[in-house]
Amino acid sequence: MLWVLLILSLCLIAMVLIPMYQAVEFYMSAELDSWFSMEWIPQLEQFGFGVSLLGTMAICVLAMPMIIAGGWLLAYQLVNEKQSVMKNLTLSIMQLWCSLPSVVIGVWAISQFVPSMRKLFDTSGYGLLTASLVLALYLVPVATMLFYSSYSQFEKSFSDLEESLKMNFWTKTRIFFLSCKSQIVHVVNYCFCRVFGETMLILMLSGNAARIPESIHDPVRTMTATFALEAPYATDLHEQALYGITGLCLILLLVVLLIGKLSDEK
Amino acid sequence: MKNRIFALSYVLLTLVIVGCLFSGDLALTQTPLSVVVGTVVSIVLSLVLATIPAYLMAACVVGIIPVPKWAIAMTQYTAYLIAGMPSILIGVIGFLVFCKWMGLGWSLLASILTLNLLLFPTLLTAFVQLLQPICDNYLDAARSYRVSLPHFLFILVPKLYTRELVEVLTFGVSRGLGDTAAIMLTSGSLLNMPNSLLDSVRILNYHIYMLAMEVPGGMNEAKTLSLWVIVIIFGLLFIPRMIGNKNYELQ
Repeated sequence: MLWVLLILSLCLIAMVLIPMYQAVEFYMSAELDSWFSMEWIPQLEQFGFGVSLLGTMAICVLAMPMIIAGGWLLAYQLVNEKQSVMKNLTLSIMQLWCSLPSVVIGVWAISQFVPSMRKLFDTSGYGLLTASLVLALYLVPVATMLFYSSYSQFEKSFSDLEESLKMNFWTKTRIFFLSCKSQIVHVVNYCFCRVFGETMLILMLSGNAARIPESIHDPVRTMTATFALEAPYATDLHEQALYGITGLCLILLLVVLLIGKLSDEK
Repeated sequence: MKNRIFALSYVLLTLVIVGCLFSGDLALTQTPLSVVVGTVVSIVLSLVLATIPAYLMAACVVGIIPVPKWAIAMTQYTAYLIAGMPSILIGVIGFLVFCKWMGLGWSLLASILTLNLLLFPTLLTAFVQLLQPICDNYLDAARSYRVSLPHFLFILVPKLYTRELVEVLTFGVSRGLGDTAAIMLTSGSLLNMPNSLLDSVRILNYHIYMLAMEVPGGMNEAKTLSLWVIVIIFGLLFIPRMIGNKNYELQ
């Protein structure tokens, strides 16, 4: 059994390193100026990662606060709700949302959400704000279920203290954040990885323009969307550049995941 | 009621979404049977391939099968890193390893193996959470009755925890059904009925994406298929609840 375990783990590690090896080939052959620039024009062999990295970070900066705040607020309400049919129904709906493919939410967003945004802001409807809002809507249930399990354990341990000291909402919240720091870091980590890696919703709603957005209604392109859009027809240096983007994504995510794992162990 | 307003918001949002998806004409004229066959075959085979290794590795992690601690730590770290990776990166790994390096090309087999890579750490984590209390409560008693490890893992545990095991498996199915990016890079997009595992096939979620984004007039059918996916996933959530818990005494 030990050998099976070792072989499986080594195979998995090797599989993760293969895109990194392809990425290294690109970084060795392409010029430094080319991949640090802010222009992604494959026809002119300009493979600047700046545009897609900026797009990814913009989506993360807009969506993450909404996901964490919304998830925590919903989890707080659910934990403090007494056991009832409505609570069970809400939890089931949350579990449904956690399992839903993002394509389904994208179809709904294209039919209803984008026309509403178009009417409200007098824009095309596809852009940074639309993608961030729908992504936040999609991932709030994930954050809710993660916060719900941490908050339930917290309630079990602190409910007597809360009753005896008659704590208010803000005191209770502060104690929760102080006592469950590693679990909160884990939730934030996990949501960041989901936002960073989300492809289908971004492809359907962000407009996919490889340029720097000047406002939150402008279209953007993320790193994952760049790969998904261009991989089927890319060749030679263009293909290697896409693996370069993937390698960069892998490194960023591995750093985030390792930070989460280390904070778990503390 | 105002304390429940945020909690009920997602119930209302789900009803709005289902209502919007219902507004199409509910016809499926551009969805051949090959899409459904390809999706079912890829999910079922990848679940079959992933379940037993994940179950055995989970048994190693919780201590039912004795292995050195460094091996357990290495397995846990690897599974944690892969579980945290977005599915598009798993798709890239699958494309490079299975489609290019192994020479499978865009095929059902490549998508099965890629989905297996995606499901394995998820199932491993779920099985560890299932087996940990079993290990704490029953393992010593089983050892004292000289129950063999295969008997403990494959007969006793499924009898005692049928509902939980079914919950893990339905979670795996819904995870496989919910993923698009990983499979879209490995399965191809042909609409023909596959004759073998090496044939390219279009998976349901990718078909919904193509209908919504690339096919003129395909939005109505995309809405109908999305509605079906919601119904199937909702149904999958209820299957474990229909299986009651039965208490068995160790004999």
